[in-house]
Formats: sequence, structure tokens, C-alpha cells
Amino acid sequence: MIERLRRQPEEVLFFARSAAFALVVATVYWFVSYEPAGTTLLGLFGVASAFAAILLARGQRRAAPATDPEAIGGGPFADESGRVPTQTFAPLQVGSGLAIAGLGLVFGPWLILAALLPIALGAVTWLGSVGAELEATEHSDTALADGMAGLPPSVDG
Amino acid sequence: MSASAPAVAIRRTEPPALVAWLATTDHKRIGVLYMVTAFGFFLLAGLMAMVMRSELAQPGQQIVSAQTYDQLFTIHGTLMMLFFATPLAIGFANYIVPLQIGAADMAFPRLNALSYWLFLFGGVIVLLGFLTTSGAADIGWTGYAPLSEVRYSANVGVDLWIVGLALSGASSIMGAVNFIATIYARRAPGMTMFRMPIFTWNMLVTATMILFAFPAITGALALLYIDRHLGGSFFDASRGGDPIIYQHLFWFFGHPEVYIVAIPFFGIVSEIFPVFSRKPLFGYRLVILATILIAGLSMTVWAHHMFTTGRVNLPFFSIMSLLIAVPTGIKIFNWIATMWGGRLSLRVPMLWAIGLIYVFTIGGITGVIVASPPLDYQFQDTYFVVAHLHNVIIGSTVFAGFAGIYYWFPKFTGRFLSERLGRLHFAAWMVGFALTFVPQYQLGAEGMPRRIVDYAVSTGWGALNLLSTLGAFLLGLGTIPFLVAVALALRGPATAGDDPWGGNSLEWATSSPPPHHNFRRLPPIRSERPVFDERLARAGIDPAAVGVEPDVGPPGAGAADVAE
Repeated sequence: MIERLRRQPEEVLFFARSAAFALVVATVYWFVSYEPAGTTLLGLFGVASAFAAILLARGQRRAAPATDPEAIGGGPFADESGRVPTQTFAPLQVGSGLAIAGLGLVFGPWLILAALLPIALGAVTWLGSVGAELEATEHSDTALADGMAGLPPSVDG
Repeated sequence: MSASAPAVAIRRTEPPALVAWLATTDHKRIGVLYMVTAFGFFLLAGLMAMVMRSELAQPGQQIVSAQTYDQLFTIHGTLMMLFFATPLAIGFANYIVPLQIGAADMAFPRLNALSYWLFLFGGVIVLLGFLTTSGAADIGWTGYAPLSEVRYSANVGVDLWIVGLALSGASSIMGAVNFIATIYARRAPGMTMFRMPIFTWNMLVTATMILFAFPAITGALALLYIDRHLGGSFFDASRGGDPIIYQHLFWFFGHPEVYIVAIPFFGIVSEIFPVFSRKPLFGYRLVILATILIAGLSMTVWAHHMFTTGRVNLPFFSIMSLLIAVPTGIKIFNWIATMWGGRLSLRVPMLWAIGLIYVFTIGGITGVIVASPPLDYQFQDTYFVVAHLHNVIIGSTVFAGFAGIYYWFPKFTGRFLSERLGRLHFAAWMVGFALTFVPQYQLGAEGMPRRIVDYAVSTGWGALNLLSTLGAFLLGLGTIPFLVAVALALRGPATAGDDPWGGNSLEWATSSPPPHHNFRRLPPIRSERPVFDERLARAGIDPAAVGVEPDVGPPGAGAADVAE
């Protein structure tokens, strides 16, 4: 178990150590105080960290890099690169909609109804552009996709 | 931009400037939006502070009513903590982190834009309270129950405060997810975790803290709203609730928040000290370890804010609070050791960074004082705590914030900020800061409570309060040279070049300002200082053979003198 943990990349260990720390502190805190609110908060901090570590470790195993990233010159833990999106009003529309909905909690539910329009408009635009980017990435060759993603050519090759 | 034909062609395809900003998903533009908006909130909250200090300059009520004063200190604290300090750090990180790891953008650019809009709207909604007939929230930035329950604070401003903070909290959580994903998944080839610049490391730690701390306040606000409007009784003791639970939830967020705003700014000065000392950062891995320890410990000390409730374990929280001083001290000694034996260049960014050591260390030492329960019982809710808080927050956020702006402004715009105005700005803030807050320590020790609009002549607090007010005005006036410097720089020619200071990390390997996708080429990444390595390689020096940094490339001094 410890050996397997040691083999994990730093990205996983970062959360694993957080989890261990928080769970130990939560345990100590419970036995010195018998105070449930703080113990719950600390415990959840530990559980959430452990969840993140496990999720990352499983994702890493699925991606299964055959070699140590350091040995191949290092690289990212995962790949979230993709096309850099073009300009879009979708975030502004969704954001303003959520703000109006928030005001509805203060001034009345009619504002929440009014917020549905910008949220829906924004969501449709958002999902549409994500779909278009995915489709474009699938249909383009690797070099073009890299170029679109703005991946710079590395001197290391 | 010298040839007119391509410029015309580009202009034809580019949307109008306003549309480009409103619809942007570019991390650099979003970073600028964050920083400018946060600075706007800072100026607004600073003006509120000056009104409050004017009121307190002498005994008697002269300027504002008690209720307005309550609103002012509530919104001042809220804006400074949640709409200035945190977003300013996120603004810097938005601009700098993708550049430092060699990425084209954030992992989720649209989510990044949404985070900004939620932050902006959250701030505006909090301020909307001033336009209502009952005024803005007047419950303190902590919003303690039962004061914030509808029985004691029925005004709509409190509801707007709750909604604004909830939106801003959601924005911060989205931002945190985005930063972690970006740092984990968009690093350039060769950029391992232990080759990442310190600022990026600090943002990773900060984002993780946000992820674990912010849900507590968002939950507390939701419960408070349910109490106020949906018949809940979570925090109402008269109906079986427990107001202390609110304090637990608030401070489980609130204390890490102090470090959420401090750690990114520690990262900024950790970038500045090596560059202006012409040395690598002393103990790179130790600084990372200290950062992680500070973050971890800061999640376990929340109830030292609740010592006087009588319902917390004093030894546990006191010991954990005192322990934080150790990794914090490690950082400070590492910064000093970085300067030790270096060729110091006392440019404006370096002055602010050194200023941070003085100001923040005083805050740290007074923090050790209030971490001791017997002393805390004396100082709780006095001006001693006000002074301590400002030493910590201004010491880290504002001093390092200005350091970062002077340092990265050439990268943002291709232009230097005036060295002369920068020095004036710094001098005014160093003197103004001491004048404002040193008297407050004494006032606190004499028992002056915080959050009061007036005090009796017989207390003898008048002279110290007057001094403190003069200091606050000096801080306000001292900000003017900075604003002038920015205006002048933006009107001047772009003379800074790509790497004016002789930087170490990848943001200095691209143009100033960087192109849309950030890099046309990346240098090989074989250490945490790839740009420095490449400078050495260009000079034909083997990095492994170098003990002390040789003079290669643009020095941190010299080159920047063109600013004047």
C-alpha cells in the first residue's frame, strides 16, 4: 500500500497528504474536544481530499503512462488541451442570468423567471460552441489541432 | 504593426473593443478584468475607510450616523476581503499561471469568464444595498448570527449581501477548479511539478484551499437565508438553533481565507526576490513545503477567532495557531537568505517586496500574541485586532499586490511604470501604514473597542485616533502617484521589451504583451528557471557549473532605467 502510494505522481500525493493530514487532525480534534461541528468540517476536508486523490490516481492508472514523466522530460499529469475557444457572450449571459436569479431571492420569484431567458440563451450558445469545437477537433488532423490549441513547438521536440 | 496593410486586415476581422472585452475567454483579458475590477473595489472600500477614519478623528459624531457607520465598516470589510484581495490574486493568477506553465489558456476558458462575471455581479449586488431605503448590510463582514437573523436585521441590504457573497463564493470555487485543472493538465512538456514557478505552486495550494474552505461559507449563507426567509432555525437559539455553529462555519472559511489572500502574494514576492537579487530562490522545495504546511495548518485553526465564546478547546487551537508561525518564518528566512549575498537591485517591485517583510512580520508577531488565549481575552474586539488584521492583510495583499503590478506591468503592456512615481507611492504607503496602524495597537491595548462610531473625550483616545486618521489620508493620497503612473505609462511608448528584468520563468520567454495563444516557441524546460537557463545557454555557460548567477542578459537594474 505504502509502496503503491510512493509510486504515485506528485499530483496525486498532494491530495493524498492533505487527506492524511486532515483525517489525523480531525481524529485528534475529536478526542480533545468532543465537538461535532469542527470534527465534521475537518473530517469532510479529509474525505474530500481523499476523494480527489483516489479520483486522480484512478484517472492516472487509466491513462497509464508507461514511463516516469521525469524520465521523458516531464509532462502534464493529464491532457486538457484542446481548442482555445473563440469569443462568446455565453458566460456573460449565464452569469447575468444567475445574478438576476439571485436578486429574485431578495425581490421576488418573478426575477427568477426573468433569469431563465439569459441562462437558457447562454447555455445553448455554450453547449453549441463546445459541440462545434469537439467536432472540429475530431475532423482535423493532429497538427492542425495542435496549432489551433496554441501548443507551442518545444525545442525539446 | 508598422505595415499598414496587415493592420487594416486585422482590424476588419476584430470585433469592437467593448465586445472583445465582454465576450472574451482569453485568460489574459480575464486577468486584466479581474485586476481592474478588484482595484476599483479597493478604491471604493478605501474611500469608505477614509470616511470612517474622519468620523473617528476626534470624539463626538460629526460626519455619519451610527447606522451608516455600521454599513460602512461592513461593506469595507466585505469588499476588501472578498472583492479585492481574493480576486486580485485570481487576476494575477489568470494572467500569469498559464504563461508560467507554458499553456495556451486555462483548462476551461468559458468557465473562467463565467467566474469573472459572477464575481463582478456579486460585488455590484452587495453594493446595491446602499441604494435601498434601509441601506446596505450593517452586520459586520463576519455576518454573525443572531445579529444577521431577520429579528435584528430585517433590512434588504443583508439579503443582498448574502446573495452577493454566494455568487462570489461560487465564482471562487469555479476558479479554483479551473486553476487546479490548468496546473495539472495544461503544463508544457518538461514542466514537472517541481519545475513549476513558486507563484504557480502557491496558486495550486490556494486553489485547493478555496475548494475546501469556500463551501463552508456558501453553506452558512444558505442556512442563514433559510433562517431569515423560509422559517429555518439553524442559528436562532430561541427556536432550538445554535448561533455558534454559524461562527464555526464562517471561520472554517474565514481563517483559511486570510491565507487564501496571503499565499498567492507570497508567491509574487517569491518571484521578485530572486530576480532582483540575481540569485535563485533559496530553498525552492522548502518554500513549497512551507506553503503547503501554512495551508494545511490554516485549515485547523479557525476557532481561535472564537476563544471568547467559551465553547472551543483553547489549547488545541492555541497550539495549532502558534505552529503556523514556523512555516511562515521559514518563508521569511528564505526570502532574506535569497537576498543575502545577492546583487540587490532596489527597483520599485523589490522595494514593495521588502516592505512586505516588515509589515507582514509585524502582523505575524501580533498574531502570535492573539493566538495566546489569556491575551486574546484582553484584545478580543479591540483595535489591537483591527491593527493586527490590517498588518497581515495589507502587508501581504497590498504590498505584494503593488509589487506584482510594478513587476508584471511591463509584461501586461510592454511599458514600465514610472520608477520615480513608484518610489513616491511606496514611501507614502510605508509611512502612511505605520502612522495609521501603530496607534491602533496602542488604542487596542487601552481598550478601545472596534466597530464604534464614537468615544468619550474622557477616554483620552483622541490624539492617537487623529494620528491614525492622518495616516489613512496619507495612504489615500499616496495611491494617487500610482494612478498617475499607470495613466502616463499607458499613454507612453512600449519600450519594455520581452524580458526587462532578466526574469526566470516562462512568462518572460514571450512577447510583451503576449500573443493570443501566448507562445510562438518555448525554451527547453530543465529546471524551475527555464528562461534563465536559456540565457546562460545563449551566453555559452553550462548552468550546472554556475554557483552564483553571472551577468547575462538584461539585468534587473540597468535595463529598466529606460523607464525614466
